[in-house]
Amino acid sequence: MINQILLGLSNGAMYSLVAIGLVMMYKVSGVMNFAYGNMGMFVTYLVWWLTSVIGINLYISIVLGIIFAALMGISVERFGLRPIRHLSHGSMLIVTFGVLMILEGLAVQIWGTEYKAFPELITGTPLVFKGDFGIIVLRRQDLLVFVTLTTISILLLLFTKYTKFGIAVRAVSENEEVAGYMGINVGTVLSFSWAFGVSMAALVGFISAPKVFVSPLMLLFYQIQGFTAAVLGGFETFTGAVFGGLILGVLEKLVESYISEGFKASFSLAIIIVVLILFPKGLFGKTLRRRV
Amino acid sequence: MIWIILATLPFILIKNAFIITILSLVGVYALASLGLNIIMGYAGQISIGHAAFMSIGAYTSTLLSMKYNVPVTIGVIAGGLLAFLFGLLIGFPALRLSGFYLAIATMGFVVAVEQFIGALDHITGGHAGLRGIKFPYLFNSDVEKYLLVLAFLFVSYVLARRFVNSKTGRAWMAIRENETVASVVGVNPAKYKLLAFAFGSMLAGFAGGLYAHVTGFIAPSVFGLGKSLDLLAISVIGGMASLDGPFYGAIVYEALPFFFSRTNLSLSIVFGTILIFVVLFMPLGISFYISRLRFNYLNAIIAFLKKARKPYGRFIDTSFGKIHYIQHGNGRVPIILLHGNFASARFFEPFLKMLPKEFTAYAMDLPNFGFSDRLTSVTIDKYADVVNEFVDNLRLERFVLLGHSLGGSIAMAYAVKYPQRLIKLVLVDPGPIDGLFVPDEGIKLLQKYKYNPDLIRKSLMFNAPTFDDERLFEKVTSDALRIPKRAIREVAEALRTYNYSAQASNVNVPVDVIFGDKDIILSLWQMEKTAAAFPKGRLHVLKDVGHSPILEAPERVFQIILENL
Repeated sequence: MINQILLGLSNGAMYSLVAIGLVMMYKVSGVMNFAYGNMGMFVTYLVWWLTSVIGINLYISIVLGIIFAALMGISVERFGLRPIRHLSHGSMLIVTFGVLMILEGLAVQIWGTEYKAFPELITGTPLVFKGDFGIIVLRRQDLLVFVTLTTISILLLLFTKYTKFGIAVRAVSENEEVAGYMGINVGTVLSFSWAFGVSMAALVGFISAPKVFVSPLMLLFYQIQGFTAAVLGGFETFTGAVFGGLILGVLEKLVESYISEGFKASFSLAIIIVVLILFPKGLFGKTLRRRV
Repeated sequence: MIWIILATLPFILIKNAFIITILSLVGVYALASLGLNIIMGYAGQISIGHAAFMSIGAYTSTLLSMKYNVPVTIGVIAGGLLAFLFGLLIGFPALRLSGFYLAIATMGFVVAVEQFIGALDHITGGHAGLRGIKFPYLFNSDVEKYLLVLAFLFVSYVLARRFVNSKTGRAWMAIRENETVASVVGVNPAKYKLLAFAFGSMLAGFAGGLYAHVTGFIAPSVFGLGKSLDLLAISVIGGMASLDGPFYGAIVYEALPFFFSRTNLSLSIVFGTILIFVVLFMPLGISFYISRLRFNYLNAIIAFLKKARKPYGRFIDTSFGKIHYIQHGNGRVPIILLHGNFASARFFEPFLKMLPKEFTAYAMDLPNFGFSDRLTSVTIDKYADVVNEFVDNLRLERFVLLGHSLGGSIAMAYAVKYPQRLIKLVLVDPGPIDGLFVPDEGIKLLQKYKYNPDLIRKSLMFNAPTFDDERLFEKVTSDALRIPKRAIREVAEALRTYNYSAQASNVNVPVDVIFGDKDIILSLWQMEKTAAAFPKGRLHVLKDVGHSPILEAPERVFQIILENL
């Protein structure tokens, strides 16, 4: 039972990472990025190609990948979304669908559909703890996920609370227009949010790749679970995203081990629906009043 | 008419089964994205699970017809209804909130449906899908499939058009523009969004059922997220918030593979690029360009066909060419009727039917209008001379002159020149005494009327809001199509350059100015000014009547004419 929960937490931490990226982009730019998973997928492919075809060291490739991801986020936001920013939200969503289709097509075109193996970032035997509570098995991979999530959460917290740029990010997400009047460069903040978000997608791609293998649809399920986690957390706060992901991971693991594995997607859909009915603002959201 | 052409199309192509099948698929995708267009284009909600509803429709109708031998049509309808129910189920929670929740829920839905149908392999055949779906036919299965698709498409199109042009459609568009404002003006956003979503899903259900029978093969993966995005792209490329857009989008979608079949380029890239390009640079989609083309060029064909060709009255020769007129009644008092802009003598037909017996009426087509001859460089004064010669040739000594709108301005010009011949001047919503200003931009638009019969008919109808015999408008429109394009500009310019304020004081006959208070061209103060300019001018304001009291309240007009005659 404890092991199940631990496994769930590890999955959930991945969902949290996905959700953090999504929430960052959504909070600042107001766009739900549906191309998120495919952006991560594409960068992962790139890193796989750099390491196994070109033969560059894995960690250098990862750094290059993250830089590429950031650039991709910035350019999609700058050239695809900003021109129609003040026209309609629907159109911006549609642009992300277009990006999704293009990236999927490109990946298939360049690298084909067969699954590629991605090297483990961290290897070693699982840590085993024995005690009067039973036996706990902790995989190194899980450890990596937890460490990444904790680091990023804490950094994000410090960043948004104590740095000038972090405060600017919060200001823009609160009210873009007023933030602009206060001398904040809104464009830079928008670019940053997308660079950060897509880098998170890439990170999720690297961490999950050894398990799910590199393929054009590798992150689709993570993306949906990330959405679910974000809905669960209320879409407005990073805290919500982190805990939403963790809760979702545990619940999903329990369903998987006690009911059936075939209904994972149906299950997360059910969660979305239940949350939307009972807690329309998510578990951690607050009610907003809007002016017209 | 276009539907009849579409229906005969397969019989022309009967040798070419492949093209008929492609056309059927175009119809299927047009149907599905018509539903999506209602959800996205009209109600402004983004759904990316549309293929899931196709899937539901496809499996329902297939299983019904394979296991229980239900007729195909009923199976498809059942599939649509089931999709409708699922639409309610998914839409209910997601649509209570605004924004992207529907997109997320539908994304989950499409993946869940794919997994779920794949998991139920003893009923649905699992991930491998169902093959060899039978289609009972009478003479030619491809043609019949096509006609079945077309029938569903036609009914859905008509339904959708009824919805969009009704109160429901207005509510959808209000929600799309601003949900909060819509709810303030009394639209229940949740209810209308749900209706749009469920209705759109139902169309997808139909499309799915038809797809199964057209292709004879379905699998869960056919209706995945990719197909949903394709449908979305069809909708956007064709043109959101248009009912004909899905057709163009579906044609592009079906035609693209043929163009790129040699280049080995993944279609998903091509389609995604087109999608982004359309959103950024031509957000109104193909249908906008097509409708502009129609407006500028294609409607001219209809205009040519509709143009009136058979004169219905008599001709009289003047130095301004032949004048066409109709005569009615044989009373002792002659009355000359002058019609307004874009009208003709026919405009007075209902009016003449109620003519009191003391009158003999002469309704003329002004030169450039109806069947009278063309006249270049027209002014209001010139028209007054035409009227003068007309009455001379008819040998009328004294008469009542009635002018409506443009005719009213001409009647004023006539009264100023030849006041002694008038018994009485009746101005029905006339051009004001000091001219009617028409901006240049307006003239350009008016010139478009020449090639757009629908616009003329609509503007005539707007100017007679309480009169509803559409046949009369049709007839007047066919006359109006005879107006030369140059004359439209000249008449509008003539209307803004005259001013009879000073000379009007010499007109010593009774002048009745009649004004309908729902007039959308003229306003009350202009009419007050006009009536005050004549020494014996009186203003009658008719309540709840538009620009054309002649059509809308003829008995009141006669009553006013008969007073102190």
